[in-house]
Amino acid sequence: MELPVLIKEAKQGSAAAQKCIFDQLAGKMLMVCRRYVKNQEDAEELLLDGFYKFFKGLPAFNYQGEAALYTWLKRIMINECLMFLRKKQAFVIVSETVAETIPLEEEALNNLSATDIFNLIVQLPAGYRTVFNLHAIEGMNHGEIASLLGISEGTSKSQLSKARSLLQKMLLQKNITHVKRSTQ
Amino acid sequence: MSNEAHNKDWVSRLDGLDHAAGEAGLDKNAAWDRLHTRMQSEQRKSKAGWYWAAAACVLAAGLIPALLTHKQKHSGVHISPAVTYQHLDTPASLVISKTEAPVSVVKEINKPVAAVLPVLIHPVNTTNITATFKKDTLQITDTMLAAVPAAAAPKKMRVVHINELGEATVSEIVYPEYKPFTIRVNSPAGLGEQTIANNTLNIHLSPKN
Repeated sequence: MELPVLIKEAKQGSAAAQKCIFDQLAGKMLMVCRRYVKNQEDAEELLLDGFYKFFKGLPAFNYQGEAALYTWLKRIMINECLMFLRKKQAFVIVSETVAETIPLEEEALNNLSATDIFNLIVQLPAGYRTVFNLHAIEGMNHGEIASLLGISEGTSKSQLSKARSLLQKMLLQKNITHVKRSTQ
Repeated sequence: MSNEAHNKDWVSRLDGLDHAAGEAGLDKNAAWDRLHTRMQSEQRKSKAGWYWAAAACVLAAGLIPALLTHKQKHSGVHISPAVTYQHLDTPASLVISKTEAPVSVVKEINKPVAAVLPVLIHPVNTTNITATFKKDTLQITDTMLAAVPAAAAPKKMRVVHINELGEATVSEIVYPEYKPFTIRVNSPAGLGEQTIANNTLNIHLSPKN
């Protein structure tokens, strides 16, 4: 069944349609949650919380295409994850000074598989990982990240820089030969 | 979101990732069962909330008219003129008591009748005042009405000494027995003497020396 039809039926409270939507999107959304929350069980719990809010808010949602629906659902999941991390006080930001870093060649990531990229990101500490996800993947600027996480812009920049540096180190450790080293 | 160019290939591939390789994927059926159970229980809770609200509304709809009726009953007692007189010793010590709500009358019980209640009685029936009061309800027989003043109680008057007039003394005056008594006033102008044997006034002036 097509997604617009499923959405229409789900809005009317059809449990079958809701299950179909869940089956289609749950896997991707779980990976979104896991990019922010390392623990599988926590991520699953957050996934259910997110879908619960999604179905609750669905009657008020104006369907404007699959991409819009996906973006909305993803945003719900990210918000759930950030609330969870805040509750756990995962954002332990030590200093705002930008340490000497090895810049990450993001082109190098294009040569990696999605699973490899995912595994690299998951290994980052929570603070670095969150800022990296929000900036590099979700495309937020530092002002938005700062207001969302309750930190300063400088801290956000610092965290992103450290995250990139750490990722670059990991790539080097894995001896990924096709990664071009920066000459700077 | 920023307006940065966001056309990274690795990002779209990462977003499309359904499950991590080498890890047990999500058990979608079990997860859906949990989610569905939760959604149903929330619906039940919200339904129960509505039932409670409806029950409260019904209860309020039943109670408010009953309360209003009750209030009206009590306020009717306050404005009701149905006052009965239970006993009467003398016209002056008339005790007024109410059969239902004595609250509004309590303060007036010990006051003289004439001050408290303008008792309206036909002039012809003034001889039967006591009989009229002894009845349970006040009977107004005619439009020609008159206020009945309260009878003055016998009172012993106090002794007054008039020292400003020298040796003048005032004898004991007892009213209203009308016992004969004499008032003598000794002043530089002469001696004044008045004997009162009844309610007529007799003044005898005796010049000094």
